[in-house]
Amino acid sequence: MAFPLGVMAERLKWGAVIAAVLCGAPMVVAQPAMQSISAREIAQSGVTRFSDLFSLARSWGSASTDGYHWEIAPIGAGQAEAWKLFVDHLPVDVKAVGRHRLNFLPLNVTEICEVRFYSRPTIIGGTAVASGAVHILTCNPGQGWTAQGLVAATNETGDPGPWRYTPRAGPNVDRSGPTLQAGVAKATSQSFIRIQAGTDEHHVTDPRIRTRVHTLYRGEKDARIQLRFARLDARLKRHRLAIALSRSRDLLYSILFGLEAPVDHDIQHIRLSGSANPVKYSVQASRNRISTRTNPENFNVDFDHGIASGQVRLVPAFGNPNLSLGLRGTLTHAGFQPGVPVRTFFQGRVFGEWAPHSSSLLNPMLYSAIRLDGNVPGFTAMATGTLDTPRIDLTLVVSNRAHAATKDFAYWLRQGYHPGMPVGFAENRPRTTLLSADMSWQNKGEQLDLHFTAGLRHHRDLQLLSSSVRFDTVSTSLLSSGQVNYFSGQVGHLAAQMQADIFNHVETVIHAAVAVPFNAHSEYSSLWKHRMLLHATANYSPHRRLSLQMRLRLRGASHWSAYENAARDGPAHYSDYLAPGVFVDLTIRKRLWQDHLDLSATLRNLLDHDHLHHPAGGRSRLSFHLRLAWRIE
Amino acid sequence: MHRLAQCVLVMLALGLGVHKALLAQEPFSTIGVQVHATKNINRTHFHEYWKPGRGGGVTLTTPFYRGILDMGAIVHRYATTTDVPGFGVTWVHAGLSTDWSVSKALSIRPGLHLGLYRMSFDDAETTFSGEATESDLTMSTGMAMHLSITEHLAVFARIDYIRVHTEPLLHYWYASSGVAVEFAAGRKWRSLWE
Repeated sequence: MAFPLGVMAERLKWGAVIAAVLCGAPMVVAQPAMQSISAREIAQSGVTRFSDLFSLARSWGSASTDGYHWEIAPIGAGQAEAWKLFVDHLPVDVKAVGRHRLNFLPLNVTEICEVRFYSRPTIIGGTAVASGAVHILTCNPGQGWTAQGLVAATNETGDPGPWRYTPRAGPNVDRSGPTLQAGVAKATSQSFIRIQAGTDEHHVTDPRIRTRVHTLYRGEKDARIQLRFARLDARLKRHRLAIALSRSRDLLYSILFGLEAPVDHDIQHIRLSGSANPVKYSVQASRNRISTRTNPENFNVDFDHGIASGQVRLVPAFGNPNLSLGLRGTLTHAGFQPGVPVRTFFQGRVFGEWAPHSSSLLNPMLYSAIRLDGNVPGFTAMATGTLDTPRIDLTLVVSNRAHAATKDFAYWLRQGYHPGMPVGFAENRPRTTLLSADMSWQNKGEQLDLHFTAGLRHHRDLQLLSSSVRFDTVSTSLLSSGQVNYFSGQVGHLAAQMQADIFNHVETVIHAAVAVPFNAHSEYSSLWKHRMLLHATANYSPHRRLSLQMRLRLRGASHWSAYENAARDGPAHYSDYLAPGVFVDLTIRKRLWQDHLDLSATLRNLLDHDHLHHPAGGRSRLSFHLRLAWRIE
Repeated sequence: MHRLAQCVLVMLALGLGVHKALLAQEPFSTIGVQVHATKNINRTHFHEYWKPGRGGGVTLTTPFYRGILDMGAIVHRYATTTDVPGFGVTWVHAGLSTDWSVSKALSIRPGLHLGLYRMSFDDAETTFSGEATESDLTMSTGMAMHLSITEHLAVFARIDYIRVHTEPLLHYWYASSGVAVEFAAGRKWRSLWE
């Protein structure tokens, strides 16, 4: 059966609305500086992995050592504190050593309706997010049976090919994929059940990091990352259940480890959410466990993080419909390496949202939360206001809360997690303070849409891990030591965006973002690695089933002071300066068989510029990506 | 910027320029089948180690919005001239061509293609990734000359420049000649591609 574009768009829209209603998302919230990427845009870009979505995020910087996992963070917001990941309005934990492992999220890319990148403070499902968020919204399947999935493969350039038999032979380079995702669903008007599964693989063989990777890696010839996952989603009327599991064989890099630790990474979560007027609820439990595989140096980075949480929101059906009150409790359980005591603590939060007026002139919204994080009280308050003509958004945030609220890597180090390297601690300061102000202005014309944002943030007693490293000439790994310190400082950010339909069938978006830390300690300033990013996209669709997309990403230079010594002693493997880089991607996409098949071919780094994405990482090369997705109803 | 990348960008720009003319044709309305013999004709440092053998290929063509979509596969061998192993090649490619009519019977078709160059080595030693084969990206540009014999039958000769993205790069010139038949496409074919 054919699946017309209009029907799909309508279905995607209502899928997101139903998910919002089920999970209690406020429907009237100002959303300055939010970039929404639709399923259509994901398909047009040829993206098959979650971490590759960064290449579509206009205001997010990125870094990668292996070309598979990408550390991404909003320019000017999230590099001091971790940004948060949400799926269907509820937080999801896929972190390892403080970094999101987005590719390990047990979810098919083809099931995504929308991805929202928040680079400024916002509220998602009753949670205030001060440092940016990525929010993934899944689709509800259409009525009847649906089967969909994708298969993708990547070819990295630069292999020796036949030259490996000659004196001109060079080393081999990464091979990525194949990626396979498949799912089947059965739905009626009031319910559905959907099962998904997927596999993925990536080889980590870049010459700059190969020796370091093989220091601990044992097994097959190639060092590789492998992923398997499965997921079950079900909905009955206004209640929704999700159970997801992923198991990966990962190569986990941290500056504190100084090399790639071979680990098994297991992620399990179960969630139940829904509504029964006037109450909206969610209950979820998750486990995120890292187990070190056998290695010749008995290096151990085990980490077992379990969370059980529940949230209830009262949204009265009478009076002002934009008032809601909520209660959230979270029990966290963390186990570390053998011999280290297990940590268990409770977090509680009482919160409220109030939108006192809803006129066409001004739409204010107030949010406040009183919280308890591991016996340390705190609060978060947020106020947003929106003027409709011209469109101006203002967001103010005041937050004073315990470090347990963020549960970042530095926090776990203080709780007893030890990576095998010496770590020192400054005298404990229980809370961190954030003051933040953001303003955006938008002028929407018929053919031209202009958008400017500016903001200022002040951090006090931000808990950070400072590292110093030395170069090991034998293994090419790093000999590291760390210190958990507290720093204060300010950062300002500016962004400008122009969206235009200049030519027939051509959509163009140009976005520039810059962040400037000031009046701050050098350790604080060094957190903002990527301070300038220019992003341009041109999408040409001469036919509704054919598109050609070109993306240009200009990344500013960055200094990585922690790697200074390693860059001096091992310049073939490390650098403390990443030069400015221009990356151009080109994707051609054709839908076939009356939209049942979706075929795309992408050339990434078309200019074949030999850039570093991380001071301890490999070099970028031209690569070719093929993606075939299917949807049969 | 590499010259081939520049070439891709220029061709895309040209493609935008001839948008209206090419959209006039009905996409996927015909199917063309080309069968041809192929030979690697240039000599580089690579050929100090390997000697090209004869090869052959099959290509399918159909009208596309902006020109002619073609997808093909070529197989051929490289025999060893020293102590290195010989290998067989399967080059799979797809791309777009345009059709410039010189006369009623004669036309020239320049085109751009992306593909994969799969090499299967003869000896038992495996490649780095643990396999006896290796695939690498190709970018190629070519020019074909078609001479129509009847409404449905033509003979053609073509020359292609291929860049295989190994390190160092491999540069090949291939010459091919063969016959092409073209017939009206059925509804299923059009339904599949549309």
